[in-house]
Amino acid sequence: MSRTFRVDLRGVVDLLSHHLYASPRVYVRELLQNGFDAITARRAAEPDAPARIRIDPPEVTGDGTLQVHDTGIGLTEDQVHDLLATIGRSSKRDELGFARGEFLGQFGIGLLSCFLVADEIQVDTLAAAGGPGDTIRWTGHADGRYDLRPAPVARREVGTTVTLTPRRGAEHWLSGSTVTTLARRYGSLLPADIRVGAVPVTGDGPPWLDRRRPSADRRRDLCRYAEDALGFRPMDVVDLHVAEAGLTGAAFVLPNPVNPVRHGDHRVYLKRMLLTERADRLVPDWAFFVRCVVDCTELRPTASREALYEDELLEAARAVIGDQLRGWIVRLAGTDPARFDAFLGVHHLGVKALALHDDELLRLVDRWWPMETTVGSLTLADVRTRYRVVRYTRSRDEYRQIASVAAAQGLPVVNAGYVYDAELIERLPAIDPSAVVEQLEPTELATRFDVLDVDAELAVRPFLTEAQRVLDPLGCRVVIRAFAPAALPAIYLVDRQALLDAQLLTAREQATGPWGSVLDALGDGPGGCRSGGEGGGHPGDWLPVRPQLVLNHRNPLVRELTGLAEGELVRLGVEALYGQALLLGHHPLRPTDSAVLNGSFLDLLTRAVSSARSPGREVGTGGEGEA
Amino acid sequence: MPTEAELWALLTEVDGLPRGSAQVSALERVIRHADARGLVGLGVRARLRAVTAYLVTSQANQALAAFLWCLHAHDEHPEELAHEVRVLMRAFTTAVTVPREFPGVPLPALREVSAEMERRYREVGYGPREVYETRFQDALHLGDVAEARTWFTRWRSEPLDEVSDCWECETTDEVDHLVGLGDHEDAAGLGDLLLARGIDCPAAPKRLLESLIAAYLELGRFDDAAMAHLRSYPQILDALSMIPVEHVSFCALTGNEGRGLEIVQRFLHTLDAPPAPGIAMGDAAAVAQLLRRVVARGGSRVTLHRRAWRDRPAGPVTAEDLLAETTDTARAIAAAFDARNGSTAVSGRVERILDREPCTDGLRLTGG
Repeated sequence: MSRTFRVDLRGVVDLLSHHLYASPRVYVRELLQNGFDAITARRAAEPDAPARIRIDPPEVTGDGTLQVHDTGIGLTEDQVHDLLATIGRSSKRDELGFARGEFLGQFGIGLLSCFLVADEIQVDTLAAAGGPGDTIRWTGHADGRYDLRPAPVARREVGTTVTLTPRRGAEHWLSGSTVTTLARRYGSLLPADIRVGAVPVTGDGPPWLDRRRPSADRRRDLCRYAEDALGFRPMDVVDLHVAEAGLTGAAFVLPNPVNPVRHGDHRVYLKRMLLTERADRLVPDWAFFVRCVVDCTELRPTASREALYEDELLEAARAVIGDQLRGWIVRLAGTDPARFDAFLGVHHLGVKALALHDDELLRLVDRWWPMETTVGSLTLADVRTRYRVVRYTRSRDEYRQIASVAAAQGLPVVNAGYVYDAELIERLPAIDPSAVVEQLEPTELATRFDVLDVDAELAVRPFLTEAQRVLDPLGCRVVIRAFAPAALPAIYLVDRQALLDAQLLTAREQATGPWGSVLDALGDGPGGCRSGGEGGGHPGDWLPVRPQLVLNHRNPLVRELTGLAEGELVRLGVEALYGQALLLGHHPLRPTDSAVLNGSFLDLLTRAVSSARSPGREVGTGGEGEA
Repeated sequence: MPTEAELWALLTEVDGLPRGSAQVSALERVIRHADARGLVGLGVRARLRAVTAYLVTSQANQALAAFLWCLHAHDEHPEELAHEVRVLMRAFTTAVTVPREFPGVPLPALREVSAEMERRYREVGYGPREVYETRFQDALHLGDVAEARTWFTRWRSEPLDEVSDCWECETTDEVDHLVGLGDHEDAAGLGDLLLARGIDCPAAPKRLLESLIAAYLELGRFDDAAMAHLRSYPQILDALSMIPVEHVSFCALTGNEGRGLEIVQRFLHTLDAPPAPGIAMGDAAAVAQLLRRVVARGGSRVTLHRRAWRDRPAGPVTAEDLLAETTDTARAIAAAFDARNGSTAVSGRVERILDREPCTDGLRLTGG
């Protein structure tokens, strides 16, 4: 039977099969959605109507086609015309998304999506509203032709059967194993009896919904679910509920640390049908330590139904989920310190990221997170209780150059070179107005060493002058102080600001053309950010703070050295101490540093060897000959 | 001491670190070791990476010093750095945006900077597209719309080359420039086209959507403006070091003052350490625009919480006080720019932002 009007489907087919979806596999989802929607529609009037969808792959049908039978409401001839008209008008993606809002629109779009894998689609349908014998058959082709006529064989049951004849090259998308995998992926949570051949793909629905079981059992089941579905055994499970979004689900806490910059792959079901396994904006940025599985009814999908549409409702849902995760963290800290400790050990970055803005979480970090300090591993709260002041270095390099000496002075210093730590320490006054935090520049350490008394100071003057002459070419200042441990002859101290100043100075010296005046202009005013007053810098001028070699007057060798008359040996000694101090502080060695270190070592060795050859000059072994 | 391979690995790891002091220290560590060993290529790579890291942590002078070091190194060792030329020239496009944001940079220096960029691009065989874009932006800053339009046209007619961004980003720039020129109809038309191509990607072009907010508002396409705001705002990371002005302004102009306050509260601390005076000015003006609406609606006693900064303790600040503060800041910086420019273009722009009346009232923010 030919109709009086026809709809041009070619444009829609083209849009659906080439531009809308990322992969042909969604055709299975579309067929399941259609079947399930039809069942839902029928049950609205007939609550006891059967809810079955059976997919027979070519292995079952035997004729190379794939058939999908449902016990849904079926379509009348007029409805078929309506749906064709609806989708015939949809030439843009957004209109498609809109058309999906209606049962018929979704049915049509879902059906035509099958052209991703089929050359021909045949629909035999018997509407619940029609009388017996009214089965109609619609046959559509990938080039947009279609026709509608009474089916040659009447259906005995209300419902619809869709038959796909695969396109050449697309047969594998219809094979039994592929269809079973896809049907399970998309439809396993649907409340209907869905089978591929005889194999059931649906079960008991979302595993997080059954709240009647004892909580330990439920938790165990959810953990098992995560292992199956997500591939990991979670540290814990957090229930999620967002009423406005009609959202329920669970957040599974990952057992291993994850890169905070990467956003999570969350699994989102929309009215029990899988929407995506890669939703990345379901939780706030800081919650990168969970993978969520949720089902929702109100969140809006994009036109392709492969992602969530970003709107205010999603934003509100994200905020509620954030609150629930945060609540879980706070509760865990209060009720199960051991597990919280384990959680923090793995996911401290997430908690710290949150603590940058959230006072309560900052309190948790303060109380629980052990930081590396020169007096052992301590929480910030411990440091404050014991030492009042939280002194910290902003980089790990700075910490390494001073750690052992600061420890010997009994000076507690926190290594805040780890991600977020410096920012968190600087924010401590927000939760504890009495907290005193001080950034320690390495050269400030020297201000805590004892200065020599006047006589000793005068006595070492000539030596210091000589030593400074030796170190000038190396860009280093020499001072002498007394500090623990006495076994350490010297320490090399350099501030970050000194390194930055050196960079600025170099840039200023090398600047040609306009860059000199540009650099000058950047040096002051808001945003210029030359923090001249801090770290012993000189505000307003460009003289860099030089690195310091601090010699230890308590060290016997240093004392010997300061008393030497011979210039050459002083030079070798100072150079050797300089090189050794660089090595001890893990400082990088420039070629000149290496040359100085090697030269002084070899020269000292040469001297030692030659004095061993001429025993007359030897002092300590005089008694040996007499023995 | 780390080996050279370890240093390169460390540089790769930097990309996995969130913005902030740990990232900066890691880069400085690589730079220090690279310099000590004379590894110029590594020094260049780490510094070019540090340009952005310094800019977002408000150390513009260090950012520029790092860039200039690379430029100098390239002149000294052209063969050794032949492979780095492309990244270096791309970094130029970032570096030239810095001087413009500082009123202390004399105008001739600004011109010389783009002239040097042009010369260097010519020397290494790149087209003048990015140079024209720089001149366009300079002209726009100075309020010379006719001149800006000339450079915009020349920019648009140059083909993309190795130093350009991808096609989508460059088209997004075009939308942004059209908005800057006041060609809202063209901006929206081009933006619509780009969105229609990739509308399904929810994480799609954030920058594009943000540029379009202003165009849509101008054209009375309020629902589209709401869509653009709603889809791009969630993509802003907490680590942003400035006020998201498009969003604050959107809220001020559409009767969404409550939401605007929420956004300002989230990024309020960035007003304390802005990356550059030009940015500080724009941020302050946008915040003032919103607060003026809040106060007009009777919310002068509404408070926001401010973190401690230098000598100022943490505590509440009223909308009224913050309005006065931000208005003063925006005007003071604008005056400094005017003095440099010998015109009133910048303060004129700031006053227009401050005086702007809402486009619509009570635009509801729903996705559908």
